[in-house]
Parts: sequence; structure tokens; C-alpha cells
Amino acid sequence: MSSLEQLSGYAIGVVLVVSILMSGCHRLETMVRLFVIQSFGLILILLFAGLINNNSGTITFCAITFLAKCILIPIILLKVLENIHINRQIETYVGLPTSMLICCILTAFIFEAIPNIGIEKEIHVLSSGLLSSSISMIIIGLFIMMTRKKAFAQILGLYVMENGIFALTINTIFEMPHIVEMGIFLDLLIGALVMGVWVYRIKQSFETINVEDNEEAKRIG
Amino acid sequence: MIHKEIIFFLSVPVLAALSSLIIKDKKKIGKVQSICMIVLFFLGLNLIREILKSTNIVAFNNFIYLDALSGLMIFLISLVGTIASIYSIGYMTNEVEEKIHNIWKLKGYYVLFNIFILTMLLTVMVNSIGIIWIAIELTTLVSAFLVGYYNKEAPVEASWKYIILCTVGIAFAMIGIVLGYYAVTHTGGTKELGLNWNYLTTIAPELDPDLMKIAFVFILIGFGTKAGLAPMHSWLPDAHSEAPTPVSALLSGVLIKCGIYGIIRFAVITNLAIGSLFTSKLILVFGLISLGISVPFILIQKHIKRLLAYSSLEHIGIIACGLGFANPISVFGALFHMINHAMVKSLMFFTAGNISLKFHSKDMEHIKGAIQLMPVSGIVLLVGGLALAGSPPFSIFLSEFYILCGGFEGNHWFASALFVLFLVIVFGGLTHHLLQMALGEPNNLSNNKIKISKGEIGRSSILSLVIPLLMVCLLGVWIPGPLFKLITEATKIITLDRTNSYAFTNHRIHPQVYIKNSVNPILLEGSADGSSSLSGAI
Repeated sequence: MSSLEQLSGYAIGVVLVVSILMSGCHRLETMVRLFVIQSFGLILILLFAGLINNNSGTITFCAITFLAKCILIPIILLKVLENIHINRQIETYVGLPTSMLICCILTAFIFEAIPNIGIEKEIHVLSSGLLSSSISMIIIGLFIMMTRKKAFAQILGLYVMENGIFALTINTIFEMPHIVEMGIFLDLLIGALVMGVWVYRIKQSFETINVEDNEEAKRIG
Repeated sequence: MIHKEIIFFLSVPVLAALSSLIIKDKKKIGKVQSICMIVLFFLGLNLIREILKSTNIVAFNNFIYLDALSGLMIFLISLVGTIASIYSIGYMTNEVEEKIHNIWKLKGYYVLFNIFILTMLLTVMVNSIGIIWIAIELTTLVSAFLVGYYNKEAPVEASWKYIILCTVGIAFAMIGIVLGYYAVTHTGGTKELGLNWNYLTTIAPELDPDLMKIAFVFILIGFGTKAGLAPMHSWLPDAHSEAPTPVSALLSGVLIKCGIYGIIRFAVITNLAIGSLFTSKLILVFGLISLGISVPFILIQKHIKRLLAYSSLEHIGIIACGLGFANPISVFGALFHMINHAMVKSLMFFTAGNISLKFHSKDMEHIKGAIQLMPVSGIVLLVGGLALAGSPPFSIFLSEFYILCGGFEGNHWFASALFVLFLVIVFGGLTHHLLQMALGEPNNLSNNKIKISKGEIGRSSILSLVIPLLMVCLLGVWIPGPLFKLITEATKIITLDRTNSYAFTNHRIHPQVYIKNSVNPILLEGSADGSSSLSGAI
């Protein structure tokens, strides 16, 4: 076992722990910071995988991913957060400790179940567990989106889910064709901007970004 | 040669967006936009002519791939875009005069409108499935601003729901694409070409069947959310009813079909890998669920635009059923239905927009006696309503009939029976609602207590009704030759593997024989040039 391989194993662990922490986090700003750590962990995994496979193109790709996920998107999100003056009192449908517990159980279940599916790894030198972690992250992201009442937290749930798909990509196919990869980043960036604008508009229209308070939402049919 | 035409075609919406920023007179903006869209439509027709000449076109280093299916979508997008832009002239000036918004919001509207058209055109013109995904996500992000254009509570909430649901849905489609690409690299396919549609069709038979099954399920859920298939449809009624009327027509007429287009593209590859039984059954089930869910909501609806939105859900269900019956005649019907639905739904949204502007209400209880107050819009409401419900002389009836024929031909007895049952109930519900609005005595005391005068909203609002109305009436009795050829060629793409396997051996399923013998003699008479080139097409 090479040291790089060991390091990527640690990185996978960090990414997974951060995902579970995000599900139990009660400050929006901290959630953004955790998202940065999570993305950084994934970039490290990608970098190690590239180094092990002697793939020189990976470094540029890592740099672009870093620019998008660790710098631009967090800046946009923090800016939005500054504008809407809401940080604390996250309201959820499920209590925070409970949601953390549920996420842990889900993760354990996925780690137990996934190895039986039998999708082989593209890069065999990577330490195991990335596939299970990626699916756990997708599920945790969905869980955050479902249980949080704040529109802003829903965006973060979406990005956790996207990171999960990113991890799945590293695990199965390593890289998409470059033009597609660039397009996805473009979409993510525009998505952050657009959703930021809408969070701001919701705040303006309803004086709250709590989705549950919208009376219109209760309308049937 | 073809490069130039594609560049010209795609630059029209860009130029139109720029022109709306430069022009200062608010009345001129709308007119210039309409002219641009008409130019776009004719350039699109030219492109379609090229496509029909050479079955498929690959350009710009494999970036653009055009075949009959893309041609059909280009036709739809540019046609509905043209009609919507003509309608926008009257609708938007009316909004500006009523001080709902100022000139800069008007400019913003036209810029977004054009970018929206551009992203939809990109969706149907690119080769790589990955870029189809990107373009569809871009349509969501752009049209969200159009849905929430009025910036009041309900539109803002509708567009938030729209962004979040469609983005999550499309994330699932990404998982499907990743798995599909994994299947490609796993069989040793070329990495850089791995997501290109024309390349995928060549290596599809070697792909891992299990992986493709899982991938297709994710794609169906993902693009199905965008297409508004139930149970992922919950964004659809809100977005359609809160958007400005021309945008509702675009959303309902073409945007949800872009989702269907994505599903079709991936389904063809999955069919080549595992046979069509799996995909067609899944699509059929989703189609029937959509139809079934739309029924009660259409019956109890009070809000006129939500009624039309749920009717869109019903029609997307009909299209999915047509694709799910997986029979050349039903697939032909489904593609034909895409055009018919786009036409009828634009017609109905515009009429409903005129009427609700006049009555200052979207509540159907307040709208009575539309024929008396607005002779043209009222009658069009009635005629369009009958067409929408699927009454015989109109084109919707024809395409629904084709789909049903395909269902019975394919021995889907139970599904076909359910299909008919739902259609009959919807027919009753729609005609009930629309008759109530069109006939009766107008009561001047609507909820706003504004005196309602007699007369139409404006010239352009009537003018824009003409094209869809003509199309709806005309297509019911006669399909122009080139259009007929376009649809049959597109059908051929979708049912590709079936023609090789057994459709030819079983003459009953051969649509040309079928159409000639039993379904629609008028159709073939009218389209002599189309049918001659059809010989052996499917």
C-alpha cells in the first residue's frame, strides 16, 4: 500500500465525516465552510488518483475544480448569506441530533449493501469505500434537502448531492470528456448565482426564507 | 456549407437578445423580436430541408448532430417561439401600460426569452448526451427568471419550486449519464467520444445490460422531472400558471418536450443494448400515471391557467403512452402529438391570457360569457377547447387515435383501455369548464369590481391566434408532405431496432400499410410527395 493510497483513504474518511456533520450543522455559514472542506477532500482524492495513474491532465482539472467549488461557489453563497442576514436558528423537520443519527445509520447501511452490487472500480489502486461514500453523500444531500425548511440550506443539500455525484464520477469513470466537465462547472456556477438571487427574492417577497411559511404552498391542486 | 447555416441559425436568438437591449421604443422592441423569430423559423425550415436531404448531419468536430428527431424539435421550438413572440407584443405592452413593470423589465423579458429559446435549440442540436444534460439544466436556470417574472409571492415561490425540483431531478439524470459512460469505458469504448450519441449507437449492443438498465431508470427519473411526468410533475402546474402567458406557452409547448427528447435519445441506446421491452414498459407506466393523476385535478380545477397546466400533464402522459406502446404507428402518433399539443396549448394559453386580462381574474368562476364580451377570443376558446379535449375534426384527435391504434396493435389491451377511459373523463371535464366560461351572461361585478368593456385586447393578441388555429384545423385533415416525412423519419430513428427484428415480418404493424388500409385515407391523399418517399421508410 503506497502512502498516496493511504492518504486518499483518509481523505475519503474526512469527506464522509464532513457530510454527516453537515446534516447536523445548525449554522448556515458553517455549512458553507464544511462544504468547502468536503470539496477540497474530493479534489485531493482526484489528485492522488491522477498521480498514481500518471495522468498529467488531472492537475489542470483539479485546479479548475478547486477554483469553482472551493473559491467561487462559496464566495457567492457567503455573499447571499450576508445579504439576507439570516444565519442562526436553522429550522428542520427532524431534530439535528436525530438527523445526524439517521445519516450515520444510512451510511452504515450503504457501506454494508453496496459491495454486493459489484460495480468494479476503474482505478484499482484507490482504496475501497469511495463508491459507498459517494452514494452515502448523494443520500445525505437528499436528506438535507428534504428536512431543512430554509431555502438556503436546500441549496447546500443540492451541492452535497452534486459532490456525491462527483465522487461517483471519480470512482467509476475517473473523468468525463473535458467539454462536458467544463459545462457542468459552468452550470454549477450559474446555478449558485441564480439560486442565490432567488433566495434573496424569497426573502424580499415573504420577509423570510422559510419555505414552510409560504401560504401559497399549502394550496391544493 | 452547413456550418454557415447552423451558425446563422443559432445567432438569430443572440442578435434578437442584443437588439432588445439597444432599441429604446417599447413598441418597436416587440415587433423586431417577432421579425427575428420569423427569420429563425425560416432558417430552421431550411435546416430541416438539409436534414431530410442527407438523413443526418454531423458538424463542428462532432459537437452538432442533426437528424430527423432534432429537425422535428427545431421545427417545434422555432414555430412556438414565433407565435409566442407575436403574442408578446400585445401582452407585454398591455402590462407596461398597466404599470405592472417598466421598460427595463420589458427588455429583461426579451433577453431572457431569447436565451431560453437558444438553450432549447442547443438541447436538441448537440451530439453529446452530457451536453444535452448541460443545456437542459441551463433551460431551467434561464426560464426560472421568466417564471418568476412578476416578482410577487406566488410566482417567486413557483419558480423556487421549479428550480429546486428540476435541478435535483436533473442531478439524477447525471447519475444515469455517469453510469452509462461507465458502461462505455468498461467495454473499451473511446473515452473522448464516449458520450456522443452517434458513437453510442454504434457500440450500444456491446454495453453491459444491467448497467444500462440502472442508467435508464435514473435518466427517466431525471429528464422525466423536466418533462413533467407524474409523480415528478409537482413543479409543472405552479410554473405554468404563474409565468407570463407567452412563457407558459413556451414551457408547455416545447420545454417539457425537451425532457421527452432527452429520454428518447437515451432510450434508443438502451433499446439497442437490451431490447425495447424494458424501456417501453417503464415509459408506458409513467405515461399512464401522469394521465391518471391529471384527471381528478382537471375535474376540480378553478384556476384557468392551472387547468391548462394539468392538461399539459395529461398530454405529456399521452405522448409517453405513445412512446411506451413502442409500435411504429403509436410512436408516429406520439411525435405528431408533440406538434399538435404545442399548437393547441399555445392557442389555449393565449386565449386564456386574453380572457383573464379582460376579466382581471384567473378564477374560472368569475369568467362568464366570454363570447359576448370578446367575440373572437370567446369563439377560439370554445374551438380550441374542443380541439384540446380531442374532438374529431382537429389534429389532436388524429394523433390520439394513432397512439390508440398502436396500443391495440401491440396487444396492450389493459393499458389502452385505461388510456381511453382517462381521455373520456378529461374530455368531459374540459368541455364542462370551457363551456361555462364561453357561454352564459357576463357579470360585470368581478372580484376587482372593474367595469369590463366589450372588445378584444389588441391586434397582435388576435393575430397570434391565427397560426396555431390554422395548424390545429389543417393538421386534422392533411399533413404537409415534408412534415409527414420528417415525422416518419424521426419514428424510424426511435423504432430502429424493431424494424430490423420483426416489424417488417409482421405486416400488420407496418405503419404505411396500416395507414393506407385503415387509418386515414385523407392523410395520404393530401401528402402524395411525402408518402412516395415514405416507401419502406419504417
